[in-house]
This record gives sequence, structure tokens and C-alpha cells, in this order.
Amino acid sequence: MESKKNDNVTRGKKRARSPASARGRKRKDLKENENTSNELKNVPQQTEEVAKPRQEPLCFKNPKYRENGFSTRTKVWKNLKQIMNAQKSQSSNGEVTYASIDAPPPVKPVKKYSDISGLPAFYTDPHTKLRYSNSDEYRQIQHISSDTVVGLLALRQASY
Amino acid sequence: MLNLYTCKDEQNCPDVLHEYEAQLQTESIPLIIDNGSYHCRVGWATKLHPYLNFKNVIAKNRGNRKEKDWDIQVANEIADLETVRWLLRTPYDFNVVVNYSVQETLLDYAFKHLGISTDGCINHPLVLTEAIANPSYCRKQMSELLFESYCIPKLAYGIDCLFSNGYNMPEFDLPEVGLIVSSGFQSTHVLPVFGKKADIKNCCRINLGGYNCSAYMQRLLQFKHPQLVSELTLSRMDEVVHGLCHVAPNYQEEITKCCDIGFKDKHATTLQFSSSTTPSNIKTGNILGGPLKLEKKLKQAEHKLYELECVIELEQESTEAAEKVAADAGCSSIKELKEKTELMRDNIQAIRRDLDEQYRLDKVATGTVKCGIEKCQAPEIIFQPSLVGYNQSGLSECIEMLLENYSKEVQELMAKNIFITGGNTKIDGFRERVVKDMIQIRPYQSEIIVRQAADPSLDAWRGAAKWALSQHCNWMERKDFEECGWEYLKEHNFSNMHVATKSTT
Repeated sequence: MESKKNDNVTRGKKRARSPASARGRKRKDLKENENTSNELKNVPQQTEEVAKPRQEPLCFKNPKYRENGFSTRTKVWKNLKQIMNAQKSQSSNGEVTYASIDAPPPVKPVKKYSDISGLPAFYTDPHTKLRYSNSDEYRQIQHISSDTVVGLLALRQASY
Repeated sequence: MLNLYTCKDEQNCPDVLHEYEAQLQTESIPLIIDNGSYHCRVGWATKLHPYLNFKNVIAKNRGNRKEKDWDIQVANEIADLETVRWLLRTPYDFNVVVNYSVQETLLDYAFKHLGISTDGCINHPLVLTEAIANPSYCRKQMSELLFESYCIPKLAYGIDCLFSNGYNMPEFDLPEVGLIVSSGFQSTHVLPVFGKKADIKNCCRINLGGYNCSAYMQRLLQFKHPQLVSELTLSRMDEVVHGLCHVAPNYQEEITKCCDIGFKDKHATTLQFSSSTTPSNIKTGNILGGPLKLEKKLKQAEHKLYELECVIELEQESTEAAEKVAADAGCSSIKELKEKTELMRDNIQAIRRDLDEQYRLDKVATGTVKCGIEKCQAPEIIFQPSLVGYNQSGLSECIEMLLENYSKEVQELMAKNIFITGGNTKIDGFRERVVKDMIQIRPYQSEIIVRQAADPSLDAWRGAAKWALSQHCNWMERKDFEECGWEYLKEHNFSNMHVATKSTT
């Protein structure tokens, strides 16, 4: 029973850290690796060796690059939002930045379409905020689950 | 009429290891890389086609975190993207390269497959495409990576849609005045060309592209067919959007037409998936409560019938006992019981018939999706970003807005020289829609000419190749970077503008 309990714990996200189950855990890890690498069908020679980093040094690469600590592997990269904000704070007015060429909001009023059928929507349900174009659709809206409602609204980035 | 479309589900073929020809080495032929968020095209400038054309992704499978083991598959080594969808990494964040470790892996892959075997360096000048208004910070990282890690002799950056436009002109060069519409995987740009140079200040970028069309199509179909959520994968949606979808010349008209039942039957396409997972859908019983419910009903009815038949048999032995059981069953006499049995038998036959019908429908219905209005909804988001909640002007509005920045004469010239490029413009009817919208924008009876690139996906690479071998070419060398810093950019007609970042001190 004890071992079964441990199994249940290791299968979930949290892993039991008890030393007794360490060996069992390692075996389980290997099994999982084998399964996932079998899924990556197209690398037959690598499925035998369970999981190996690509260590064959490529001849055209500068060997001093890694030694001098310019390695790209361990760095944490900024994402686009951070880069854009940095650029915004550093640039002066009138300069072309990545953010400045973004298309502006529409001048003409946007057309609304039904969330159910895609037809032009003339009405909005005040309760769920979904748009519909005729009474049949309204009847459908009254029966759909709240998950679907949230999903449909998320499709056009509106909140519930 | 049943329009049937079966998803091909093509698997990727691993790339060939090309031979490093002697001639390429001695003449130092430029290497052209059209680095896109969808595909990366790599090849030699003297060839007609890029040797490599692969999806710009890697699949990193972390095996044992402690020992830092990982299994990396690059690009076309991944046979089926869907199996590793959650492990995919791309160097791109939207349409800009931000992750240089992944970029390094992809460049390693590209150079290795080109067969390059020189020791410690790559002896070829490199032309690389980048996004319009690529931040200097990103360019700096890229230049550093290329010069430090690969030791290339010369480098040049350019914008893909400009190269494509130049390639499609009678003589390789940008037009005097023109307008480029470039719709890619992650973004769509409208770029005016003025004085044979790109007018980047007046460029407009809509943050939607082919990826958004596919994702929107996927969500639309998933809502309508919740039982087929796992079948409607992004790779299939890519195929559907480019194979089946079309841009409606008049969206309002088209959607009203689509909802008419007669039109729907005639023009809707039924998508079929050639997958082996559909039987499992039936077993989960999620699809139609129908067959399972009916099966249960049938079983209960048959059980009851059996009981009644037992009573009838009992009657043959002893009438009294049978009468007693009949009374328990709620019948006043054995005759009534017999009648009840008959009714049960009829009932069971009816249920059996219904069940057969359901299973027949199941065979047809599982793994099929009907696409009617969705075919014109998905590509429409480029023209109406509000469909997906983006607060940006659509493509036609952007064009209208940009034209107003110029004088009337220039506007006329631009309207006669509109050029469409980019993989996402291969959708049916894209060009016709742009023409129609331009007719609405421009003054009555003014001339409008809209041309599409001969090969919207590959012409950027070909244009870059032609540029590299021509006199227009403008290289940057390592010493330029040593003097001016890694953010240095030599501007030329096909490049971005150099925007220096001021130091914060």
C-alpha cells in the first residue's frame, strides 16, 4: 500500500522526495523519457540513447566563443514587450521605432458580427454580452454553458 | 452536392546534407538567409532556389532536468509537429527575433546541412532579412552572434518585402513610387516606396497574419464541433486556410449568402480527417449521447422481455403460478401479459432500428466538419481586425490612411503600382479584394494596378540573392562594428533605417 501511495504522488506534478523511492523514481523517469522520445519518430538513432544533448562540435563555429563566456545558451532573453518599452523610453519624438509603425485604431465605426453564426449582429445579450442576429440565436444563447460563453467572448477579446 | 476535402496531414521530410561545392568555397559566394517567423530559407546566391526551406522551430524535450539532458529536434527533423506542439520553441516573439540560443541552434542546423566544413569560421558574406523597424537591440544581438560565433567576413541586412518587390521588377530595383502590401505569418505590413527607397516612417503594421487566420479558424470550428477538438490541429488549419479559404470581395454580401440553406448545401465543404483516433471518440461517449443511451434502453427492454417470456413458459407448467407472477408484474390476466410481451417485442425492434440509424450516421459524421461561412471568416481578420478584438485599422483602411500622407500626384502613381507579397497573400481572392477596396477609396475612374509577386513565399529569398550579386550591394565588415559598436547598420535602399539607441548615462 505504501509503495502504491508513493506511485500516486510521483505520477502527479509534485514528486515525493523520500530517499526510499529515489531508485523507483529514476526508473520511472527513464521510462517517461523513452516514451516521449519514441513519439519524436524521426530520430531513430537517438531513441536508443534515452536523452542526450547535442554535443558534436560543429567545425565552422568559433571555439573561442564558448570559452570567452559569450555563450547564448545560459542567457535569459528579453521578450518583445520589454524591448519595445526600452526603445520607447530611449527614443526621442519623431523617430521611427518598432512601436511607432503600429496601425492605429480604426476611424470608421466597426461592424459587429454574431458570435454564434457570423452574420451581422444587431443585438447584444445584456446578460452574457454575446452578440446575436435573430431570435433563434438568442434561444441558443440561453442554453449554452458559461464555459462556451467565456470562450466565445475570448475569441474577440471581450471579457464576460 | 458534397464538396469533400480530406486533410493531407503531410509529414516533414528531413533535410538533405548538401555537398559543399569547391566552386562555392573559392569564389566566396554570398549566403542568403530569408529568416522568417514561419519558414527559414537558406541557400547560395548563385542558385535559383534556396537549398533549405524549413519551419523555423525546434522541439526541446527536457528529459532529466537534473542532468541537463535534452533531446533537441530542429526544423524538418520533426516529422509531425502536432506530437511535439507543446515543446516547440521559436527564436521569434511575434515577428522579431528575441531568443538567440534558439536562433543559434537553427543557424547551426542550416550551415551544417549546407555542408559547410571550414574550420572555425564561415568564409561567405551573409545576407539576412529582418522585420521592418527591427529594434536596434535585436539587430545588435544578431550581428554579435554572427560575427563572434561564426566569424563571417561580411554582413548585410535587408527587408524581405523590398527584396521581393525588386525581384519582380523588369530590372532589379525598387520602383520610383509604389506601395507594398506584405502579409506574413505573424504580421501584415503596408510599406510605401518613395524615391526608390522604403518610406519606413510612413509604414503601417497590422499585428495579424497567417498564424492568426489559422488560430481563428481553429477556434471557430472547435466551438461548433466540440467533440472534434483534438482533430482540429493547427497544422490542419494551416492546410485548410490556404487550401479552402477565400477572401470575400464583399464580406457582408458573402456571409448573408452563406447562411442561406440552399447556398450552404451547394458551397459548403466537408472536411475529412484521415486519422486513426476517431474510434476512441465513440468510446468516450462524448459525441452523441444517442447511441449509448439507445444501447442501454435496448438492454433494459430485452431484459424485461426475457422476464415476461419466462412467465409465459411458467404458464405452460402451472397456470396458477403464472397468474400470480402476472399479478406481481401488474397485469390482470395472462392474456394481458402476452399482449404486453408483444408490445415489448415491437418496442425492441424499433429501438434496434434507431440504433442502426445512429451508427450509420456516426460512421459518416465522426471525423467530418462542415465548413461554410468559416471559409470567408478566417482570412477576413486581416481586413477587419475587430473580428478578433484587435483595436487596429484593417488593411484597406491602412492603405487609405497612408496614401493621404502624399500629394495627389504621388497618390495616383502609388495606386498604379501596388505590389502584394508574403505567404499569407496566397489565399484565394486576396488580390481581388485589395483591388475592390482600392476602387472604393480612390476617386471615380482613377487607374488602379495591383500586382502580386510571382512566388509570394520565395521571391524575398530570390530578391536577396539577386541583390547580393548586384552592384547595389552594401556590405558591413567586422571593422565597421569595431569602430561603431554592434548596433551599427549601413543603410541602403532595401534596408531599415538606423536608429541609434541613446545611452542612459
